[in-house]
Amino acid sequence: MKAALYAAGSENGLRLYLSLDLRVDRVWWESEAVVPSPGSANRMKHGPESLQGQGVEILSLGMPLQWASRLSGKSLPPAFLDWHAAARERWIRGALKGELNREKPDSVSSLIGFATQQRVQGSGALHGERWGSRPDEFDAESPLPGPRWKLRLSEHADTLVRLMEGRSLLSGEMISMLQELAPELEADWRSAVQLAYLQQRIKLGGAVAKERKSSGAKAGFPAEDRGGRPAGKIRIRPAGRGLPAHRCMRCGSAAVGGPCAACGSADCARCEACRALGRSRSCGLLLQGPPRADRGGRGLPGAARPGSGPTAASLPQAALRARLARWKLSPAQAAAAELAVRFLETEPGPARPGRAGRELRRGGGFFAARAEAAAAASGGRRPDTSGYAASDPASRFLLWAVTGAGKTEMLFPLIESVRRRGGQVLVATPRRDVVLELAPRLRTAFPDEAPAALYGGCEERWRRGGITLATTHQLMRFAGAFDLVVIDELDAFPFHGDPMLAYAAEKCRAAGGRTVYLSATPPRSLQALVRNGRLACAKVPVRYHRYPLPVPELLRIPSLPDCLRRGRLPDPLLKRWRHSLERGAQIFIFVPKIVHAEPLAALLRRIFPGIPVGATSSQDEERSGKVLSFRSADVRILVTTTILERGVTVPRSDVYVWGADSGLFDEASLVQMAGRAGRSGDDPRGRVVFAAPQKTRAQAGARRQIRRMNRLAAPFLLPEARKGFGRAAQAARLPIKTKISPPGSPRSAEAESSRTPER
Amino acid sequence: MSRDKKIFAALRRLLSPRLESCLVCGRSARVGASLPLLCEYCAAKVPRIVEPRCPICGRAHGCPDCLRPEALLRAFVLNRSAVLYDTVMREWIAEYKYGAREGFAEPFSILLEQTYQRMRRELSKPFPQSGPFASPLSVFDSSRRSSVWNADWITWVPLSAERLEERGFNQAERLGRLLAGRLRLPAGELLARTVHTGKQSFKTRAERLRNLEGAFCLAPNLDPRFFKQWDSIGNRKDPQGSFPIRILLIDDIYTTGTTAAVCASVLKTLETGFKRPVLVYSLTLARS
Repeated sequence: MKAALYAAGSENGLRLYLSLDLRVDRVWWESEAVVPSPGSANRMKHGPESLQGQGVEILSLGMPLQWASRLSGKSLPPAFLDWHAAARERWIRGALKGELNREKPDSVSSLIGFATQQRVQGSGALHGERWGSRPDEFDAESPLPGPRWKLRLSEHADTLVRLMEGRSLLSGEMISMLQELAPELEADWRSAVQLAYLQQRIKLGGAVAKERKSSGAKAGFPAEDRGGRPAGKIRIRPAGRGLPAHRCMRCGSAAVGGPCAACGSADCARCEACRALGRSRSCGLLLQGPPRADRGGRGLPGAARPGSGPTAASLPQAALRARLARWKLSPAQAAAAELAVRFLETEPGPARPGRAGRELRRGGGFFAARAEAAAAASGGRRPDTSGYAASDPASRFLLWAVTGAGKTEMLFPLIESVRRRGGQVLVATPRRDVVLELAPRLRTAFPDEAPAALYGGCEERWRRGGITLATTHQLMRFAGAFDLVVIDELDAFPFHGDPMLAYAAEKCRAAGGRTVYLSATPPRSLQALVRNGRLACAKVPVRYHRYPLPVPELLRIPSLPDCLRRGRLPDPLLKRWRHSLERGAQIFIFVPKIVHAEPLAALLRRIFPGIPVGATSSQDEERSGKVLSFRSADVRILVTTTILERGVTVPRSDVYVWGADSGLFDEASLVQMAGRAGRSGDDPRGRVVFAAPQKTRAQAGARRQIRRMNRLAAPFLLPEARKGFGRAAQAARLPIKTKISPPGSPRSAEAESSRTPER
Repeated sequence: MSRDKKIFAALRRLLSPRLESCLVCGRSARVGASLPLLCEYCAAKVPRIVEPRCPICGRAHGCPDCLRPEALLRAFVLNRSAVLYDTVMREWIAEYKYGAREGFAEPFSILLEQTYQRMRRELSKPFPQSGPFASPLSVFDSSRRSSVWNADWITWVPLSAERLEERGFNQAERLGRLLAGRLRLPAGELLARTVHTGKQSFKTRAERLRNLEGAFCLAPNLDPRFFKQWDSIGNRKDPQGSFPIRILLIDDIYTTGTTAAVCASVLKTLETGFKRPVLVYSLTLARS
């Protein structure tokens, strides 16, 4: 789209402003700012009286929005209005330099759309025919609407600002939000937006912006977009290299410019990364509402709000425990939750390392947070979660809970802690089905709240609540909105390895907010941060039923494709499967590739006649049905891929990973798959087998991680579990004669656990 | 240490196959083997129309539309489409048009080019002497002297200003320009859309026709020099002067042919401008 550009005077000289509706600017600059709303009065730096004798001059009636947005706010040289049109244009071109380097030189003039008219003198002249007589699309109703229009306009702007709080929306999204929540604003949204913009309560800009050279990020980004993926494997946006980078202001991804019919520019970029959430392009309008923390007196955390009671920091342990008792947590859960709640309710203190970057965050508020995120991204760090965490570890907390530990229950006290101080809570998870599953549980846990559940295609897209439950993609619609951001399943697809979602998770946090990461298998880089004491962490090493995790057995057998080709399955596996079936367990068989799932199932059906065998994968339409029938034991053996590595709980199950040496299974996914076994209290000791022709680092690492957790779990285990544990570990250790863990690793594990709670 | 790493990384890059992510499925694979930016699997899903059954509208199966008596009156000569409009193509075209994925223009324009070449071979053959082709045939016969069929100008179905503003690009124009670049044929805007009509895809045949009546006109800023150019094309081909000028009209989807017919009838009015017969051929990406 296009926007108008004008120059207006203030005591500190002339400035440029962009406009979506010049009528509003006209009223704004000629009268006492349209019934200033309470919050905005003190923010008005340029009072109308300072306009006396100064000029207001329209420079362009429509130029590409991204240019107008780049120019707006710039101060002009005092003599600007006396210059000739050519000199003015030269100045404007100079100010737009970076934007114009890919335009056709001869089309720039017409695109800037310079209005060549005389200076409008004094405020009186604003009534004159110059404003009205211009053939002007923005100014179609030339006689200004009456005072009722002004009053309504200012009401509308207030409504808009209220709705936009903590939001970052494209104009299309904003319009659909207005349709739903404030239909009376829809027709006249440009005016309301323009007034709110003049009041400096919302921020307008192009949805994709060119990177300023001064940020020093020129060279950094194209390479970083591949952050988190193995080098040389995938190039996400191959065309992005070497060009001056466009960056999507909504999702932080790089974009590539091209000709656009909407604004006429030859270098208007469209963001492909976040296109699922609406079209973000250079000339598309992105609106950013005021950050939530802007509301006075709500400073979280720590700031003692009257009537909120003592914070956990000052509470003795017993009192805090009493508060947590409501949630009926297991001892290990309670210990971790206690740590986390203390973390949330403590002012980030000098005791914590890595404090330098925080002053900026707390002082600068909303846009500082974004600047910092960008700095973290461009400063050589990868723009993924670990990169952000490393740049500002003091506001983050890692809750490292083994599979089946009951993570959701541990969240409740955290949510409660922030809610009782009036903060906004976000629980984000990469996957939609988790949102659907979690929503009812949150509703029962917090009957007074109405948690909003947001996911792609949900009904209540624009609902807000004290508690928001969302898929990580939805976070892109927020900016500076939440005091507590919980990222569940940090290491799961698609959140892991996607810089766009990591950026969104940063951006949605309010100034001074906290982030809690939840994972059973945190990425290495985060583990490293924990290890050297920079990131606060609580570990929950034991499952809620207080039995140790089943330790995987490494089994050396021929590869799966070989066996399928020969039509024979190796005896060691058959023996174990028979045993599992005899003890009445459900059998999970994970294979690396979809193409092997169905053939293996067919072979199994032949070998075990009468035993129902299923196979499923990401391309299976009836996946959820098959999982259900597996859960209800209608299907005894399920052959599947990594798609079921998380979030599936089958009461009595044994896990076999065939092809555990595949590059598609990393340590985290092996731990997750092993975590499908022994999850219920009835059958806490499932069997886990990693079967492969060769042993890999991932297999050994997964087993080491599980053993380490079991060691940490010792104090929490049930007595009978503890007795069995030694034997189980022995049994698991026996068949493998290789070295399992490097000397010293148990020591370092101990050291970790003892260091994390330190404050 | 880090330098060693860099060297090894460089070596590995040299040795490993060059993989890019496929436009459709996003998997990293060798792309562009048969269609640019697409991996083999996705490219194999394209339902190409290899042998059109209906000689007029290029449909791959029997076509009752072209048997209607009024079909004979349609202003365009014939239509050819590259692919069937099945669920796969529906999805891709939607991604391309509404989803801001302009990368699809590359494979699509290759498909169009292949269809154009097939069209050339087909039309360079002598025509059957009977059937619905009687009318174009008379003109065509006289032209057979210049052995091969070729389009003289490529143009496309325009979008209304509102739609253009909303979408940011004209999907047919993007295809047309790429195609013209590949074929080294002149291309340009000849039409403009005067009325902002709703989407054709929600309408019935009668509604479509009524809706589009008068929706197009000649582009307002057609340059007089432009007509000169046409003259020179005509003169080069046939100095005697009755040689028809063939316009290739590009669009994304052909459903009932209404859009193509309305556009073609507007293009026919160019005949008065340069005193030569104008033949409009329609080439679309998909045929439903």
